[in-house]
Amino acid sequence: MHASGAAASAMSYIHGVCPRNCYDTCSLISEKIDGRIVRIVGDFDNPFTAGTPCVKGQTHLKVVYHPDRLLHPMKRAGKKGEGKWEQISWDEAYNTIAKKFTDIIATDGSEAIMPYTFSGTFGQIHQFGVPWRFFNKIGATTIDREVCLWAGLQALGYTYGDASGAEPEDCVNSDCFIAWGSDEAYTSVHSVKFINKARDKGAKLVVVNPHRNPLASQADLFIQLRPGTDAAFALGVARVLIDENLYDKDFVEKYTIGFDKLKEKVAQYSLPKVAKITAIPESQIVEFARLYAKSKKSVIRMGYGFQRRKNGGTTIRAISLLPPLIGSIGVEGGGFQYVSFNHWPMDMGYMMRPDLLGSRKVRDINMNELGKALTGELPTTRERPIKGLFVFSGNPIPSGTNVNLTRKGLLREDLFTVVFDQFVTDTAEYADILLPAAHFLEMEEVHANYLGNYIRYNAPALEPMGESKSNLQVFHELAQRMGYTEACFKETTADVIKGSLNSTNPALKDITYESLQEKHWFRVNLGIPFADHKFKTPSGKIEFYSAAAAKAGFDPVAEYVPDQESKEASPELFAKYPIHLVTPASQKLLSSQWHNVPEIQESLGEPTITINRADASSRGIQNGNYVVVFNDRGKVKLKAKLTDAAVRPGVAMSYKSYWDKLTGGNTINRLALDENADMNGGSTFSTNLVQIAKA
Amino acid sequence: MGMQKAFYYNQNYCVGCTSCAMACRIAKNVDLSISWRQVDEYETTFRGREVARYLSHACNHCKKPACMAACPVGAYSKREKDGLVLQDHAKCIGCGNCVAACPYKAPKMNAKTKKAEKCDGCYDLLDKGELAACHRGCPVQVLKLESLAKLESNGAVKEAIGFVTYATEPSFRFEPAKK
Repeated sequence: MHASGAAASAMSYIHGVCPRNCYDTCSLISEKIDGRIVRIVGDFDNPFTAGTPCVKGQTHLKVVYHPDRLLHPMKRAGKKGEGKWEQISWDEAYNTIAKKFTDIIATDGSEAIMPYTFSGTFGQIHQFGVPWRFFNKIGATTIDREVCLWAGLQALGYTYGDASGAEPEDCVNSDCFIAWGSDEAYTSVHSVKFINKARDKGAKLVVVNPHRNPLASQADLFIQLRPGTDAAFALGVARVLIDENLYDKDFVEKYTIGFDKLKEKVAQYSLPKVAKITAIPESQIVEFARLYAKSKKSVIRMGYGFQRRKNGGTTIRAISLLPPLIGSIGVEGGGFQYVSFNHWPMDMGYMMRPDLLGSRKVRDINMNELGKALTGELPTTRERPIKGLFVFSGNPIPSGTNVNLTRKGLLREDLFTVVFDQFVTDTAEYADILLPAAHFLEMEEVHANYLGNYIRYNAPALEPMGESKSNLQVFHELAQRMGYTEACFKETTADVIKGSLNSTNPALKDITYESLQEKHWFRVNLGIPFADHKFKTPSGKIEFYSAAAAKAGFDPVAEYVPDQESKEASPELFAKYPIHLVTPASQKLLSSQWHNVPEIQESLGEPTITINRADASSRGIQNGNYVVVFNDRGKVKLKAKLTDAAVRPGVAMSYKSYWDKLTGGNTINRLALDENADMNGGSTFSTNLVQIAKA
Repeated sequence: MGMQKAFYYNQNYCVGCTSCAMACRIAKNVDLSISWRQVDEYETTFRGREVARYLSHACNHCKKPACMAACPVGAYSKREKDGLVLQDHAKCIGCGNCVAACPYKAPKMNAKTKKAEKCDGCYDLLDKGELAACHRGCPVQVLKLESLAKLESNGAVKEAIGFVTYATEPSFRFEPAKK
């Protein structure tokens, strides 16, 4: 608490971090006077944040002092979802939870208890770390938090053995930036300035996306392909690179295996065939390949949204084969970008304490199947139902899949639900016990970007408001109430930070608890990724042919697999629901965070759906009409925005994760598929056929 | 008159994130029923395809401010040192003449206070050596408030999509449009 407790009427400046689960993870400065923060700005000294948060982050002050902050524990005083609460003491809250959990463990076994989290407020300690001490000790069901990027992570592993790609700052050196299924403008806006520095020097901008996002409007080349056909496009590009001898023979020979197999594979992807699958003319496939191969300093940034589909892993695998073909791996300004992990090798064992679980084997439930898990639609929960659910740093209604099914599960009378949040969210409406969470400015934490190699320290700027508490405090106190006597449950946040930084990993060389407090953030220098041309694959090389992929049941090279909900894979479904719905992030929400902030609501407006004019006219829909959007999973009513170019015919776009209760029950994830992707249990939000009709 | 300040905007690179408008609202505590700065979206043609372009705009701190000319009580003045057009809010009688007179619709009538208000160029921040809230708040670095003479010597132009130069001589300049 080095910066708080300043003398009255003198301004103090407290360095913090925006933890709302963003690539950029901004460094912030809170300006505080007489015990109250009066302004929150971005840190100018940090080259990534460069003085400002994003549109969402401008409103941090309105969030921390929001009149709707949950400040006291509550218990349900009506039916589930009815919104009636009675304030209780922490003592009563802890006793109720401890008794209920102890009873559940005695009658149904420890795996009848399940945490649900991911993601609101991020943090190495309070989100990734200490809550798992509690759940490990219990022996609770493990929640697989695989909503974001996991399918692609597995795919990149097959190719490179490691997913960590180029730093955003390095893009100033690029000759070509390819935003593939990503939307930097809305989800990583601080990286755009680096791309623009390269563009000022003549670099080309290419966007591959079914939706014309802001950078697509500026792009030198915009590939507006049919949703879910990216793998076919990538293999078509590979074919041109090889056919036209544009590939780097020297690099391929030295650092890759399986080039012949790739050649055989792309022989199956003639340009007419790829053009037919992707709805991209052959000339654009060729144009892309030639532009891409012009310089090794070409970087491909892959987003997450387009990978959240049944064929998401195979899609990323196909795209990942392009950089080594042009020899851009290990090159300044080249390579790929997906996620960075290597700069935060904190000791997760220290934080999470898997030893407290010991040799007990507990089941895993994928968070993408929460509704199925709660309603007994999963075989494992049909036999052994979830009886106790603890939701923290997460809000599955509206952010998760198949919201209607999740709601059905949360309405179960025999389910005991704890929700620990800063606000009475959509999910919190179904809680038996509500616990007030501290705002991030009220607790100490360590954060890391997940694109860009920063580790950042958040000093607490305020005391927790009302009776709110940090995650560490709640899980440690609850553990003690459950009778767990391990010393770790008495640790403070500072203890855990110190313990988990006690590492010999060179990335953490200069990073200690004290240096974090003093410097606020570090840029970990990991150099150009793969500069040594060493790869953690079985062969030690980049694998165009992956035996590991083959063993796991995938095409050993790559393949276009028509998505589960598509004209090719499900013609009957397609006849009923002929529109591909894509649900990217708005710039004004991060998952469901911020929607309850009046300044954001004013700017965001009501949820809309962008529809091509051709699809609208065949349905008698005019601009501004209300339409119903539906499939077998649900139905929502939205305002139509007609376009000639933002989406093509057969595609519709609606921004995700508006709160259900703030939109009259019309959150878009009522329609979202709750299955697992082809790889790693990834989510499938983008595998989503719908029909649209005038309301 | 000292060095006239002007807004600079690179329409080629703006992504419409609206961070500038939100930074303005928060810094100036602007009532939710009105905006001092707003971001409009336009559909236009770029290299033969239909694309979106944005225009972030506020008060243009004109050389010949229509608001100032229209105000019956002399509430508006042009600041000597940087040409910012400021309004003495205590003097405003809420007649709405400035709202009607401004060709850029910069002054807004606040229904709660029944007075007009508009962008003040964050003169208070500038006087402390800081940047205007929108300038600082642009994460893409396409919006600035700086010396008009400097902008003009750097080749900034007077035209952009969605913007017309009226006789008030607005202090708003643009990066030349990419062709």
